[in-house]
Amino acid sequence: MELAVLLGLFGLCVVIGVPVAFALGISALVVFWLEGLPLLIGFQRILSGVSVFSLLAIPFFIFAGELMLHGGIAARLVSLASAAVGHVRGGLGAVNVLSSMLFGGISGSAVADVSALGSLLIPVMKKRGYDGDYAVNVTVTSSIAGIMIPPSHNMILYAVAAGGGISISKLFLAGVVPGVLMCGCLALAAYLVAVRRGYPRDAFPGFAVLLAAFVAAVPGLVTAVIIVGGVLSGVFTVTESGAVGVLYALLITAVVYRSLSWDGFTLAVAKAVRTTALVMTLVGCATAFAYLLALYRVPEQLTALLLAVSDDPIVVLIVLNLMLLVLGMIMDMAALILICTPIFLPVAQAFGMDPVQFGMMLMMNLGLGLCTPPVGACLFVGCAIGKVPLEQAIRSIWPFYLAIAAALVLTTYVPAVSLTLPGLLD
Amino acid sequence: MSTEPRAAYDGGDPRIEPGSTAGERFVDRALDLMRRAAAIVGGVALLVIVFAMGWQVFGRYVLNATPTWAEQLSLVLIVVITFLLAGVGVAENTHLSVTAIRDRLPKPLANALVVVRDLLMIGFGAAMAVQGYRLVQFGWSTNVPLLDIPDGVRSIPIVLCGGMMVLCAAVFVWRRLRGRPLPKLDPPETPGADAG
Repeated sequence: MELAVLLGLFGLCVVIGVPVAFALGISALVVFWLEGLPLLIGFQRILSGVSVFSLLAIPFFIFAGELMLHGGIAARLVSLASAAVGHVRGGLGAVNVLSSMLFGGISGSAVADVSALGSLLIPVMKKRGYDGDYAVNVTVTSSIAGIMIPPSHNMILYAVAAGGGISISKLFLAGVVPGVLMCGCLALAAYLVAVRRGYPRDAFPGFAVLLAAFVAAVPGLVTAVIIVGGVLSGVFTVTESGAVGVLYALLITAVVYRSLSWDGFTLAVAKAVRTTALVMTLVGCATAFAYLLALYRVPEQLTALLLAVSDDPIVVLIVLNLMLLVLGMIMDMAALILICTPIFLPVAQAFGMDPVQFGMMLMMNLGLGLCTPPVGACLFVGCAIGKVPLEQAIRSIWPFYLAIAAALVLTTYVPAVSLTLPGLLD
Repeated sequence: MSTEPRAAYDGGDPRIEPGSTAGERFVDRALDLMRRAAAIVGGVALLVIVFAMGWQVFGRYVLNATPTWAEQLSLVLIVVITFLLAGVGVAENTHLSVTAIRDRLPKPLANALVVVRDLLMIGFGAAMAVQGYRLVQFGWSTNVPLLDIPDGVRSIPIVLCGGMMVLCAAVFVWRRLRGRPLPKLDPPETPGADAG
């Protein structure tokens, strides 16, 4: 009964537009009250959910991403990608995907990726004769690289939501192959569409230009090396590596590049604290909610339900993927990581899936959700920047969905895709 | 319910909705000041955490003396950022929410649901403020480990967040029911790095 109230009230709150974080908090508090538990415990749970040391890395990653955005690093990464792959047919599509890999690897955020690279690349692509829907679709779908390629604050959220037993280093490493694989599939889709539509091919600018672009981009790229390398080598904790990454990004953008103005800096701080609060409020309220899910043994019930449907892991994984895809289409990523992990991870483990591999499957599914209506933050931002109607973008986005689906299938059914690199740490 | 402005406002402040009354302008300015102050405190807290963590690394590898306070201070300040800016998020209406379903409903029903949403926010905010105050009292007699401050300090931002939620949502409900313009409390240039 109380479980039905918990889930029903949460769904009702979400439907009427209560922010997801507070919908989690309200439904949890009502059930605390129904159970005769003091409300104080509910707020203690929310507070303790926020006061976790490894979560401190989240504001740092977000802040580093904002500094990249406002400090000129994104523009240099685009120049590098353009010099490297701009000469193939429909080259700006490939430039877009490669830029997402480079920038997303630093910012760790798909929406930051779309807003930073979209505002740089979409207008250029349209000016060079590419259709607006193509430019938007490539930008939007390749932004998922930001979630997969380390460092990614979503991986930290997943590690925390999974109970803290999963190594963040392993998650960082696990994202590399699926992320690169997905970008490869997207680049292929972008190329095939470009050929079909007869998009132009640029001349190769020469190795001197490529080298110059690389040299200009290196200081920015080192940010990711510091963060990921610091964690993997054990020199820093993930939180410390985030802080060092921010200090380094500040140094590069303000002193080396000299492209970070005071206004850009204050804007980066203002946006970073706002985004941090949105994510951390979700984390806090989801902690209280997850406490009740565990109390009512929801994961065990769901496992039993799925076993009743089929005991074949292939079928169960298809069902899990479909559930995550549908949820990703209607709700935002951070909330779903926090809600779905405690429910679906034990189910996946019961069917023999490694938690690290499940994390990659979860990220890719929810990332795809960011690119689908009705609640696709990346899709909305991309359409707004490209001034392309949502309907027009959706009509021609399917080759890119297929590309991500191909990478998703490989990530789901071939454990080596996500587990080979983290296995090197053992 | 009236939708006609009672007095024309011809001031030049872009944050103030034209057609606001003097009382509404006062409330709008107060809310604006409140969210700006909260955002500044949160921004300073973020910078302090960055430098505290940087100092921790410097202390460990260069000074050979790890500052033990840095981690505890950061854990206190992340609560400050989270809850103060969560209140700001309510004022600016930037929290992640699903509006696609509500937006497809008939306009009168959708408007009524917005009021219900705000009333729920008032209820949650009030519970937050009251229970947060109890948490402050509960933790006032013990100190945060390694910091010479009461543990209850950690819960003060919860009280402030609850208060901001109640205040903002109450103003929104009041204005909506009376058909008055809502305060213009836009976040800085959007979008940027987000939860995705």
